[in-house]
Amino acid sequence: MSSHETNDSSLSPASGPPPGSARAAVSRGWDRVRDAWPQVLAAYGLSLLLSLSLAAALQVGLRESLEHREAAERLLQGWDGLWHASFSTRAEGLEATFDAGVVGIGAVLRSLDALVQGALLDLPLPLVVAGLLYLLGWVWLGGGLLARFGGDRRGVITLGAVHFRRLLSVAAVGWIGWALVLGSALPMLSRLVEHWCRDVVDERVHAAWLLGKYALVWSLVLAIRWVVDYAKVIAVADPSCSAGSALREGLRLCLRRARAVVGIAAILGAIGLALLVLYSFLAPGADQGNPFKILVAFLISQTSVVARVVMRAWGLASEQALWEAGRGR
Amino acid sequence: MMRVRNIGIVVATMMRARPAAPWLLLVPCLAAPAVGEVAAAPRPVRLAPVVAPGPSSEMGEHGPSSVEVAPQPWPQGPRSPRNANYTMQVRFDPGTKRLQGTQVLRWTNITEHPTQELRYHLYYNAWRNDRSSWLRRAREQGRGFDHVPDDGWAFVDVSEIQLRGAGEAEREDLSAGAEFIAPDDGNLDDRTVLRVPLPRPVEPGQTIEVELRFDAKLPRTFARTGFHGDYVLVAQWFPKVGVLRPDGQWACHQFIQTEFFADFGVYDVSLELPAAWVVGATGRELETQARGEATVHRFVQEDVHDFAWTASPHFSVHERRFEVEGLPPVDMRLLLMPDHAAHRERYFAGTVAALEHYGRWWGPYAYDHITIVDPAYRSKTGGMEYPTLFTGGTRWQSPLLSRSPEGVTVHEAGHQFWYGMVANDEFEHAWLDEGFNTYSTTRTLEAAFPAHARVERYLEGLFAVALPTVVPPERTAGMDAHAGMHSSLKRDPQSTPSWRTGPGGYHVNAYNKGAATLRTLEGYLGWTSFQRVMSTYFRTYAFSHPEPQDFFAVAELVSGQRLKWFFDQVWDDTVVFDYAVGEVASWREDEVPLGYADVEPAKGEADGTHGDRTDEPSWHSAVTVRRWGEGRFPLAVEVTFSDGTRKVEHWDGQERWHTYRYEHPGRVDRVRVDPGHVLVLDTEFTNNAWLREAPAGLAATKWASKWMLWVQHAMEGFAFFA
Repeated sequence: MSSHETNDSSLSPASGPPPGSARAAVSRGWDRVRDAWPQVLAAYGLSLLLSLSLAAALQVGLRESLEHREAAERLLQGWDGLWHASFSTRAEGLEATFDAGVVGIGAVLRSLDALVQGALLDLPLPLVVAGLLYLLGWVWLGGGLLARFGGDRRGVITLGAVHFRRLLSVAAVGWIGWALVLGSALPMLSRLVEHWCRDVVDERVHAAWLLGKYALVWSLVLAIRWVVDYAKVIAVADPSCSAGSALREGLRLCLRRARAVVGIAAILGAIGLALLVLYSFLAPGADQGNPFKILVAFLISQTSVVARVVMRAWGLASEQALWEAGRGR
Repeated sequence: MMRVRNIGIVVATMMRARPAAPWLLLVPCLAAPAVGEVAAAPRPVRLAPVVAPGPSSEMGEHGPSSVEVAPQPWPQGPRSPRNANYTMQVRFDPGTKRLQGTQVLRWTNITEHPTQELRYHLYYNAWRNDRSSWLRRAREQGRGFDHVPDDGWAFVDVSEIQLRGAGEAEREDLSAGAEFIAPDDGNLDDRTVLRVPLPRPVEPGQTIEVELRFDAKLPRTFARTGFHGDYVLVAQWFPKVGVLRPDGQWACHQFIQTEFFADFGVYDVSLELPAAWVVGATGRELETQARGEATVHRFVQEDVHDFAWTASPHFSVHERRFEVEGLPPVDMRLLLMPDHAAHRERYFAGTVAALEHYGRWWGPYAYDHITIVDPAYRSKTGGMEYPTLFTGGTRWQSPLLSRSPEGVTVHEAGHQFWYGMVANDEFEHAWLDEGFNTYSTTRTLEAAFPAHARVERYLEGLFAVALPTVVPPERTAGMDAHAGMHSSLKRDPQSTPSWRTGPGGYHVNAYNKGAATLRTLEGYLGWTSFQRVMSTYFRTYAFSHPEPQDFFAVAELVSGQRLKWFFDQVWDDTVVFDYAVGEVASWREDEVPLGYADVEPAKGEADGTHGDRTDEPSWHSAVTVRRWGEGRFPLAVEVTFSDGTRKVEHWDGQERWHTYRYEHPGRVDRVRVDPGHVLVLDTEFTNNAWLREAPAGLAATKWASKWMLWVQHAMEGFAFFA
């Protein structure tokens, strides 16, 4: 039995939500994340490592473009559209992705937009490579974190290595499913919606259709995600379980405990949304004019990344807690 | 060479274009001595009265701080030649999207040449099939139209063309001789120009009446006309007679690209539509009459050169009155789609801004009403101008800082001035209205809606978020997108007839370059002089068809400056302007030169003590400025030294480079070529300044860190699939 379970007072029938409920799982998941802060932050470290290398390359390009230029002063105070128009005509690769749309909440929303529309692979190659490396990193770390949440006190990197192969197989099945949904079903639905909305004269009607389309597509995406997640939980908990068996078990759990599964996602989704709204108020704009302000803005913006990493880990931990509750653990 | 006609011809053109109006005054050599070719003209000049210059308030960075002119009211009575007058009865069937109508054209030959034919535009035939010149050109330019649905095509057929005589029974059939012609590209499949031979010449000053029937099918919006669901914007829909130019040649181009051109007249149009549909049109609605389940709406408008209308059962109607001291009142009628109810006041605000600023700067709006149309979502009919009616455009979600609909509203309302009243030939010189209007739009937006920010849209454009700390450049009117040797400005000279421009050339010449040319001219002449130029040109050529040379002549005459060198470059050539700071160096020299010295070192210098000297040696500096582009323009060069001293040089901009040398207590800290950004036509303004110590590293780090955040969140997106 994992050591943290001894501290899991939230499962007490007298004081917390009923065992096996979504609330209990989320609560217990949070305890596990809290107990494994350093390991969770390792994932943030990976994000920092990969993105810093790309940002450094961009910084060199920007600096060269700004050397002895008045635009440097304007870019310190805010934005310089004339400079960017000139810069972008020569920009290639990473530099071509740079524009002012990354200011403030724009960075978060733009990336979420690409995610929701299934357009992440349309990003420039270096970003896709970095993204795929990060994805693989999370397959690795996800196994390590789940094992750690499960009570194994070995290092999260080591634990990740133990489970990586089987978790990769589980994830690969998910990739096929997501490719079908986002690569085939979404474009097909988009064509249908456009056809149905061909004569719509009210944007709100079209908006309703669009939201419906994404709700349907993302229901499927999330369904696959839940099956894959629970399969990972099962695969990590039972090293003898094959990827196929884990997926079957995961699917069975999702069907049997659908309410709790959806409940966990709903609770965490609501928290994530609240954090997004909060961040939209805090997100630094373009007006930092000295090193101190730039540093503060950087630190504030990094909290949004940390929050996403923690939310992901919290999700895994909560799902693990739900699965364990079902097994009477 | 710039083709500037002499003033005599300019005046002749004006006088041919319309009868003398009472407000035309004889102004001999007004304003200042004319120069160059213009000055050589010995004859007095007829121009509209120049509005009185107000208090000397040169432009600040962001436009006039006060209004300088007292706009003159328009006289009562005819303001235009009214030589192309239409009476039409039209029935619209919303089921088939068909229009059936009759038309009586009362046309007067106002040229000095007889003509033995009429030429009609049949614009809707541009989308009759894929052999039309419009669709062929679209394909050539990579704008494919391979997925036109069956109900998307359009046509207009004309029948029973008759020349009316004095009596009702006296009619001569003209249909037999009518034929389609293709004067521009020889495409025999194109049916957008109909030539109708007349049995007898129409002599100068003579008026004829031609009656015809027409049957048209609306397209599924092409070029901002047609239907979208149960919304229609019906423009360029009726057989419209071309313009007989003063030289006796027909200006009646095929509809290939560009916009439109027609003579002024009185339109009396009755539209029969389903009773539930709300209608807006050019002109005032004089009467409505129930006819079964339909309603007949009669619209009448004088002194306009086109007639468009819109209808939908979804429109709600809102009315306001424009009342600003010193300008005539205007009734504003807004037809609003339900999803844009929240933007009602923004439409009115944009219209008021245009009527007020254009009215004060250039001259008052000449009509007593205006109709604002909020086009249906995705109808592709937004941002279009017709006499006394225009379409705006916005989105359900449109943050205040987006200036949508304000921007498009100001622009299209502004077209009532540049297009509606000053009615140049858009087929030939689209920049005369689009460029003038884009310039005026940016000026008005700066004055009336200074708050502006970048707006990002997400989820297929559904949701919009403003980024308030990112302010888009405005002064350049889009010129910032045309950098260096790859500049779009090299595509075609601006003098290229608009209908003949190559791929991508139309927009940049008509809108961006036209606006930047005026903005540059404003900076060169100063606001007071430039405003006088513009208002004189506006007043002089309102209700007529000016040509570029007319504007050039007015500009030289009113400003009193030789401007041929400028117009030659921007209008009749494809040169680009690009001035830059080149090399900058500052150094100190010892009194004794390095190397072999011909003088004895002063006491102390030999042993390095400098003797009694306490003052620091001066800095020697050399600043080289360069002209990378072919265009030449006189500019200021501002040099700032490390001790705070600032020197301003005046460079004629003719040489490829010029070096300024200084001996000064401080070293050169900063150099700026054209510090006031007068030359908005400069395609690469970023290289116009040099800083010894620019915070390049810090700025790059700041922005790289913001970009990095986006990368991290994108990676989090990837991790979703882990």
